[in-house]
Amino acid sequence: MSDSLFAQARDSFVESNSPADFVELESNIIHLETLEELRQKPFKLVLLYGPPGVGKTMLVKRFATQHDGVLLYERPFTSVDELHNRLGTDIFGDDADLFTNLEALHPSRSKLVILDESQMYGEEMFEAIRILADTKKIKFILAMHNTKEEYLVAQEHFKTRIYKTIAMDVPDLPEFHIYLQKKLLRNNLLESAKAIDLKVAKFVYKYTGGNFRKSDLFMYTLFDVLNYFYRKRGLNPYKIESKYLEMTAIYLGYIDA
Amino acid sequence: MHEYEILEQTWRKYRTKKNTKIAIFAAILLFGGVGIGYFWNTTKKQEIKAKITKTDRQKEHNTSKSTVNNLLLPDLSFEKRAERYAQAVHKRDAKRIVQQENSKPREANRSQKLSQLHEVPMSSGGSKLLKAVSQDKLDLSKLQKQFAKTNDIGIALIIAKEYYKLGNYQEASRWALKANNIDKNNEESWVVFAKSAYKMGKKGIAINALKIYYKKSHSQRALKLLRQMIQGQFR
Repeated sequence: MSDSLFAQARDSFVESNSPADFVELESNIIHLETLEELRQKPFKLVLLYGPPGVGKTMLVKRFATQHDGVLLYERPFTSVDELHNRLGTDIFGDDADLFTNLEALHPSRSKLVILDESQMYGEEMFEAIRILADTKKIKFILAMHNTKEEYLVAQEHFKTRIYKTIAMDVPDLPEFHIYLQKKLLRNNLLESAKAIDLKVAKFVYKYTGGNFRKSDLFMYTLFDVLNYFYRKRGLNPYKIESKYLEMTAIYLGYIDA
Repeated sequence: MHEYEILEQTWRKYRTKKNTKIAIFAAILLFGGVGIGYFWNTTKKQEIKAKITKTDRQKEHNTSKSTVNNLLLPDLSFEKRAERYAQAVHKRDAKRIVQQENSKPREANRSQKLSQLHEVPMSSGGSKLLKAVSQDKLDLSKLQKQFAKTNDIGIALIIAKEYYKLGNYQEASRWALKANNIDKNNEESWVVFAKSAYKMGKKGIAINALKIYYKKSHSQRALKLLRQMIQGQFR
């Protein structure tokens, strides 16, 4: 038995870390172009920051997959040694000493390293990054959640070494609406995408605040609920009633029933 | 039971609660709105009513109604003042007459003049004396002497009117009072007094006099004059 339209729509919102699932929104494309430009510049450090769930990781993943030689580390390093060892291995090969090899590396062949979740790093790690950046052989892009304090700490630590800061923010409602529809259209679910009208998008936006991760979870749950009642009672597959939106919000704890 | 079935039940309860709240809120709005509307309407009506009443009162004040209202509580001080004034005038005139009678040549002259007056033939109605006076050149001093002798209200009124015509409103009012002192129901005396007082700028006294007289007589002439004076249309 083939999956219902609701089930297919639900599966479109399964959380994915694949760069292939990157949804191209206008704001994302601008940030991507900024990163493209930076790749050619001789900078030491760039800060990429924004609230959780705005798509920082997906952005840097997409960027890293598009360009060979860009090293992306999604999980934070637990120690400076781990950072040195990993970079040495990834840039120069197994068991290669990072600093010895960096000295020999020609500046024109500098490496671009992206460290995601940089808000997790402390003073010691920031210092290690600063030293490596000063060699001018490694360019760092530090992606971090911006609690403002974290951003300021990073900025203070690196002072003049920061070449650029890229601020990412939550999408506005029209862009968020497009995001939801694009997720479905990517899987050729045209009718489901049509069912996501602005009213539905507004409801989801109200509770998730435009956070993509939360919104994906909301939409996944919504279509799962719809799929259940569709199978049991037979619902109109081209319409999303507010009842099911409210049920989803209750289920996820957004509405205190 | 599937968790989504339980979820649906939870949602139903939630909806019921929410709908009840909405209904209560709507009812409050509705009744509040109706209440405000009613209150506003009532206030507006009262305002309009008050306006109409005020306008009516204004109109009444400007026309006969105010006169009638005021007549319920007349200011009788005028009468007292007028009476005192008339007595004083009468006393003074009596003194003059005594002085004149003491002067013999004058008396002869006066008798002659009076005989001339008596000789004037009488036409229909009115006294022979009044006719004679009206045909004469109205020698006021002569008439005053005549009045002193006869105490005729007609002469007093003619004098009052003549003074009024000449613009001597002070004297006109004095003679009107004399006439009024002779006969308090004489309309002409009230009218001439009121007109003279009005012309002298004593509008309040004039209106009061007419009110008193209107209360007594219900004279349409007095009422008409009163209206004119109240409305400032009297010339």
